[in-house]
Amino acid sequence: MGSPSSWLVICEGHDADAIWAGSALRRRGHRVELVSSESLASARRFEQHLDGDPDGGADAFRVVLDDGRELDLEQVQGVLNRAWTFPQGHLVGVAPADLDYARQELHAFYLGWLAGLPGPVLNPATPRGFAGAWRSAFDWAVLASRAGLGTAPLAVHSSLGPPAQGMPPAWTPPGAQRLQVVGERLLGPPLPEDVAESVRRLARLSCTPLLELTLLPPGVPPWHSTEWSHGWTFVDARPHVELRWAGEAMIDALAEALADGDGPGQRAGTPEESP
Amino acid sequence: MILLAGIPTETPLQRVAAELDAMGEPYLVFHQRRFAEIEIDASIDRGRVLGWLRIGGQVCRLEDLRGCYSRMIDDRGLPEVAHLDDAAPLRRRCRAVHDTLIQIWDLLDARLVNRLAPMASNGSKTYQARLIREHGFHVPETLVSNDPDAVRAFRQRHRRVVYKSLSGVRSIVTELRDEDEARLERIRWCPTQFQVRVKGMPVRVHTVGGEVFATAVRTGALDYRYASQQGSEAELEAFELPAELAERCVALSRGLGLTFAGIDLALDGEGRATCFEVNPCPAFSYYESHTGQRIGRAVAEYLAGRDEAG
Repeated sequence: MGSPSSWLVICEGHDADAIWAGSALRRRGHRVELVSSESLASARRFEQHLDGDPDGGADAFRVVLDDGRELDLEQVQGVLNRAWTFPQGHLVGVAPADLDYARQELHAFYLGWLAGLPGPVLNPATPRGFAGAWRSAFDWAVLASRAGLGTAPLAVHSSLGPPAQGMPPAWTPPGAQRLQVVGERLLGPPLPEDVAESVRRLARLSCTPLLELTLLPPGVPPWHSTEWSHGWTFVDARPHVELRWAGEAMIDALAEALADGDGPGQRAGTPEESP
Repeated sequence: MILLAGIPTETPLQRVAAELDAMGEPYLVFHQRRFAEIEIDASIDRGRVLGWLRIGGQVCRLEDLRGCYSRMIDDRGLPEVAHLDDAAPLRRRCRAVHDTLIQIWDLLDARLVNRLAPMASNGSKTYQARLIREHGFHVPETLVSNDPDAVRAFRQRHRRVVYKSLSGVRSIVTELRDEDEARLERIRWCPTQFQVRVKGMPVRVHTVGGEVFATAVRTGALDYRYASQQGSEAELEAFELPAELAERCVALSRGLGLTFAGIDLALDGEGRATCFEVNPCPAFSYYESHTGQRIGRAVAEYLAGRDEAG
């Protein structure tokens, strides 16, 4: 690295979507450094310096990967962060009594490091997810309602337990529409402007500038209700976005959002919002 | 109605319950070990949580909860289920009850001490330190590294350096000494946090809503919480913070999304405050019992809406 305007793509080694996006951005002439979470986990050298003065100098980072590449984060101007997990295979020799402690230490380290990444970060690390917060269906429904979207009723009972967080629904209601948000851009079916603005507001409220969601169009009944909706209805949302779904339009949107130093991805390190 | 969640014999929860009793405020106890007697039915409609909570023979509508205080521990460690396999029905029932409460907690239209999502900032010291610094506090100059040479250089530059955990686990502050040199190679498997040793008087500041309780600690120990183990003692006394600093502490807690927080400061001779961390679930009873500061009362009043803001 070393040239200005570098973008960093951090992802798991098997994340074909992120690798595709990194390659597509490179083909367009952007400088992109692709780093796997596996190579970060086995980095030869990690240094994170945190300056103590609130009005003082900047923090400094130095990472030398196991293949000898050095990441100069001072040159990084935007990050596509898809580091959902980091491998922990090297903990295999840790005594059972220390294993939970070791895992928590590594979690704390990666969170602190990712949250310090410079430039627009899509998505910023939060305590509830390295690459964007995993939220419950209830959480998303409340945020969607606050953002101005219609929501279908949800219920939970303690004998059953709540649904798994943030995962795509096991069953998508017929007629449901998939939509992706990248900064201020929406990818997917055209929406009325007020609904589109509510979707953007949801991405801002959830501090998730790269967001995928499912909406039901007007006239389609929610899956567990006999009431027909008169407007667009929120079904679910997740920070894990299938990047290839929108094709080159996604690359256009990523390039725009990563280049936007004042954009919504410039939020690493802010405390995550919650309903 | 006020909800207290945790183990009722745990001292901070016990103290808040005693204050609520003294105030004549009704409350329910979500006794974690009695999860089998608890049932929650919740729904969400147009952004509002509705439903009910049954604890033994008592039933309360969720929308009637005015204040909620959690001192919950990880339910997987409860004696009733700790020995059971994950798939065991009793353990699954315990999980489901706790998961349900956790999922609706932050969404309740009540005074929450605290919301759960913001509490997680304390799980990574460097993550939280950056937030603390953004609120105008000095933080200790810090190096996190897996490279022994980088640590040696850091120590050479600053001379007195401490190390402590990055997470909230085993967070005991210890000075890095010559005899630790041989052990430094061990950091290669896990980046470790080192900080410049900050001089100054330790002060624990509890903020409850807009109220501030500061406690000064006179000690020769590096980490006063473990003073006796470090061959020292710790004397605690109520302390008056400068008004500007007290306001900054309240602003910091609010900025982190916390209604009740324990802020660890060091005050130097020039009045500069360095913040080590913000505890989102402070065990205030230790400070209260040494100083007589009525922190538990303030928490109870906050929950009941009897504080200034209420």
